[in-house]
Amino acid sequence: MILNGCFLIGLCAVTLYPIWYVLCASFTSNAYLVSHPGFLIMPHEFTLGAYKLALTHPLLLSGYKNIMLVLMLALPLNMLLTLFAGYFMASKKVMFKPLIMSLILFTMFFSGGMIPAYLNVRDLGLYNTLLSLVLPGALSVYNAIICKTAIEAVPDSLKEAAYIDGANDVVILGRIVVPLIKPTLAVLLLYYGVGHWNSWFNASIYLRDNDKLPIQNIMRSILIANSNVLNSAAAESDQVNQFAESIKYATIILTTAPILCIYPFVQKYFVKGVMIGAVKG
Amino acid sequence: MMTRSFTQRLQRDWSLNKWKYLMILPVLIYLALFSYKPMYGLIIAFKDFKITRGIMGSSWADPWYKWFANFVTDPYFPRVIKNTFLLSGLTILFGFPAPIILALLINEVRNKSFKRTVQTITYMPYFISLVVLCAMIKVFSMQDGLFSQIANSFGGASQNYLANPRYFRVIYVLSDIWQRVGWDSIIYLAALSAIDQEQYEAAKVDGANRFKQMIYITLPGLLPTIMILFILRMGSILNVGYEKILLLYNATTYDVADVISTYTYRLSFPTSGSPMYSKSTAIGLFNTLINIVFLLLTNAISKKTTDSGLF
Amino acid sequence: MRTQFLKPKFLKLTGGLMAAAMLLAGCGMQTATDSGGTSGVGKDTNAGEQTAGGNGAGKENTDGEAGQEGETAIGSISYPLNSDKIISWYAEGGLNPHEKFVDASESPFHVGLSEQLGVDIEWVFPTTGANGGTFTTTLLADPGSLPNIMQVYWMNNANQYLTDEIIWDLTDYIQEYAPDYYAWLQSNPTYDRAMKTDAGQYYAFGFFREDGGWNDSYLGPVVRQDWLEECGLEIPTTISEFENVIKVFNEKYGATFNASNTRYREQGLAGAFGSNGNYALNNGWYVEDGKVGLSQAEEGWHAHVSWQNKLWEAGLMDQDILTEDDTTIKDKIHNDKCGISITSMGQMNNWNLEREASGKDPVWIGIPNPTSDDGEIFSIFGGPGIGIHTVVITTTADEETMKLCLQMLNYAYTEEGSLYWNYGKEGVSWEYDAEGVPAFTALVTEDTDTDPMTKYNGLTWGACGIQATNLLYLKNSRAAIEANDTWYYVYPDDEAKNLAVTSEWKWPVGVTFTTEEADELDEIAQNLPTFVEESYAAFLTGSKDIDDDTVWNQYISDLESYSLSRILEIRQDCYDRYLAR
Repeated sequence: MILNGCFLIGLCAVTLYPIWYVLCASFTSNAYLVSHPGFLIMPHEFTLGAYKLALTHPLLLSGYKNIMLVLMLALPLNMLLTLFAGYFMASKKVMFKPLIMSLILFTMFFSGGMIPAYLNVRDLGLYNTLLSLVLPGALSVYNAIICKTAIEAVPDSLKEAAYIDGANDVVILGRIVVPLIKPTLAVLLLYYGVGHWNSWFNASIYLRDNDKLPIQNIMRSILIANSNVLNSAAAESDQVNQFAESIKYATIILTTAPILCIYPFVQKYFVKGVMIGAVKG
Repeated sequence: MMTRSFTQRLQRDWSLNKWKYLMILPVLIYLALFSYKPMYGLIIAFKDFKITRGIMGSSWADPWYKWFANFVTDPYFPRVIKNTFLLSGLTILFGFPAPIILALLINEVRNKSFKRTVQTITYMPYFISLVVLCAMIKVFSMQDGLFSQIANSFGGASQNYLANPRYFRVIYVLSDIWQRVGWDSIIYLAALSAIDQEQYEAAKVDGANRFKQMIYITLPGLLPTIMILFILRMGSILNVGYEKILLLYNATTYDVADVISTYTYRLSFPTSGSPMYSKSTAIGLFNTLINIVFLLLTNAISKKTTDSGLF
Repeated sequence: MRTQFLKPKFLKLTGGLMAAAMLLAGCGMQTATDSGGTSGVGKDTNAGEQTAGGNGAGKENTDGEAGQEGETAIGSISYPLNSDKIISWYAEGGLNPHEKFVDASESPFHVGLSEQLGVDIEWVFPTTGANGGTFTTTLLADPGSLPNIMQVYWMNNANQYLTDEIIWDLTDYIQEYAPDYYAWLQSNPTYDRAMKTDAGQYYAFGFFREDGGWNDSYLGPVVRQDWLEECGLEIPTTISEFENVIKVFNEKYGATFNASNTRYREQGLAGAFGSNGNYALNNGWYVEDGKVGLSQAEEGWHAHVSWQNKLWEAGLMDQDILTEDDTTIKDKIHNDKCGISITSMGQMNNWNLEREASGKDPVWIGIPNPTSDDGEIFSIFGGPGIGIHTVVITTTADEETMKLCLQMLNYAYTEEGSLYWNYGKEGVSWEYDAEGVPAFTALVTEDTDTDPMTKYNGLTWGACGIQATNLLYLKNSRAAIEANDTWYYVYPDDEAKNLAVTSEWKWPVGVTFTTEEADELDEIAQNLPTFVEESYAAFLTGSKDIDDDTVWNQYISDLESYSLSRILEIRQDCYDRYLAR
């Protein structure tokens, strides 16, 4: 029991420390970081300079705007398709269900691959539009299975009662099923949301205008590809030099903080929300 | 007679289920456009695909398996296959049980607020994006970085950990676990909460200690969930995420980091020369087929041994 | 005063070297991602006359139909063109809007070019953080919607693109619709040779240096002068002395030898070991006495890498060298963790400026490329002034549009257009100084952003056009230009020998593979550069022991399994055809 507690505390420390380190480093002067490599417990030579510089990036704002647009377009679509697919798969006594289910499940394991998918996006005229980040991957079959499992747990008696009252399936889904599987929907929403928030690869091949790129691609250019963008965004060249390392840390905090602030509010749904079962119940 | 009853059945099915069919229609349209239509593009694996001539206009590869043969005889073939299986295998070996263990440990905690705190903290890394995670790894791996500092305090030497092929797999697998273990434990915690509490009561009466309860009640209760996730995981055994590797690898670590997906990425989007669409698609197809074999195998074995399976 | 730091003693070299260098089309403008260096020049302003002469002569040469229209229109096109077409124009690198701008609509150069040409331009660039070459291939996946004008690195594969009708064969149109450019090519057979295919088809607009780029060596070793003095060391000239400086700096300051990865791969210190460098841009392909070879398959490279490996094992080389770039290395440069390095003029310039900005002395100076201990040097980074950037017109432009594109591109080679491309708008970003030489106005000189002139001009890094020598003077500090001279003049008194080490060994810019060759290379050659690169990393870090003969022999035979012989054969044929053009 105590051993278990200690282990979990240790695990939390290991999990938290890198994040804490980044947070401290983002407030620490660059000179200190370079000359004192080592563990950071608290920020040293406290400064907001790195944040000020990071925020002057010409593409940061459009990056946030674009990911917000993607989320606003994609999430309703994701949820709708997932609910439809989940509801259908959970339903009984439907003649073509086996056929349709195999059609759906097949796509989980078999796909055209990178190039055909890319050519398809160009074919459909989605290239260089934000829709290219919304439509491909609008339905995750895995999530639909989770949704189906949740719907199956809704007592049949409730649905049948509604049928008898003359409700159709759309009404049943909206009025009865959705309220009952809210925790699952919250988790799925988060699954999809985090997926969109974190992805960068599709944007890197489907978009060609800088001002359409979502935030992760901007981050990537600052953090990984090390393009010189920040050099010129600064008013003085020595300023950049002063903050070079800490800018990276500040950028990390800037992109990660929003989502870290949201998830604890959804957390209470997590455990209630995800169940997974065999595809043939 | 048959026909008539079939039409009747059809009519009856439609009148009963038409809303269900209408609901699934957008899903099917979506799948047709974004999953099935690209499958048609797989033809280019069997052609000498020239982008200027289009799929129909390009000539057939001669022999039809030309690009598959080209891949198999490629000097990189053994390496990418080996690395793919190794990275994937290690991730499954260490990454698959980790969340189960964490879920069991969290489940044992009785103090509610401690439990909540542990959960909140361990979920956190999941929300750190891959780009940021890799940037953190890169900074920590520098010669003066955090990893070197940790190594120093245990008497190790400073070095760039990403420039040393020996550490790549460790970094890859550990960072994966770090990022996912909390989040992946959720689904097991959910399954745990669904286990009938009366069984525990009964076990207590029989004098079973907590460990025995875990072995005889908790684990069997988790087994169906574990097996389904395991089958799904095996079905994507060759899908080692190229996004993470692309962000992390460099010339020193190609030897241990180059996997099938990064190789097809390089063939499709080279920095110079012409893209090798046919070959890369052929490799993609090869990849998918192996995945399916693993999926079906695992499913069959699981059904035989544990009686739970995906299909 | 600009002329004060020119080096008159090299004046004599100018003419001869220039002519000679032009006979060899080497490779070697920096690539798009290179934000740091540009070519520096230590030549006399008199050379300007030559170029102006070349330009003028070109105009006179242009005869034919246009001539009959009267003097004002001799071989020239009047701008603006006043077309209502919208032309899409892609540049893989070198022409991106200044990093401070979100897109071209904010950039004075790009907006201004539309005005000068009288044509609306829709600009396309690789997205931020994307690799330019990779981005170009993603565009290629849909040939039906390529931008009309594309600035790319396609020369070696030009025949493929011509055969597949992705780009226009301009042979029948160039004289009429791009007379100034045509005249420029005719003024110099080397240029003409580089800008067409073996079959004599014109298809590309190139990047040239006004002076022929004869001493283009923007890259070389640099050292901290203050440390040298503190340690009582002389400027190193041989590789042993160079190594000694690394050792002394390491003992005294704990510093290591370090360079950003691209800079190092562009040359390393190959020359001192009898190897041909430039592993970055051309993957090590070179030509010696008319024979094509791969540096990394040879003994010189073996010795070079073995030396590096010893530095690495002794802790004298920074272990981050394989992953560092021009941005990340600065932390070490400015925090006394490195005192000897290899970098570009532009970067050295920035290091000094940044030191000054934080109240320190500018201590970085260029030092000669080290020779072997018996004073020999095989190659240095340098080359004649033809860029690998070329501009092509794609077949998404119909014939009329293509003609318009030709005229638009021709602008950069006219006298007026050349001024715009080099300096921006007269009276805005530049004015003539007292001596009648263009000089940037306060708008540029007082701008503290990095490379502020790139907001107004298009030829700082290389695009279609003729880069003015004067621009290079305006851009670089005196220390940087002196560094360039130090790097370039390995044999100041023997121009033929100097030429041999700087550019004669280079794989030429404008060679074109046949479609069959290109197809075959696509199938067999794509993995070789990756294999070579990772073998280098393995040898450097010691995970493979390069001094073990079995390991080395295995490596050599592995190169064969990557089709080295066949690739060499193809390249040799291609090179021979190029010479025979």
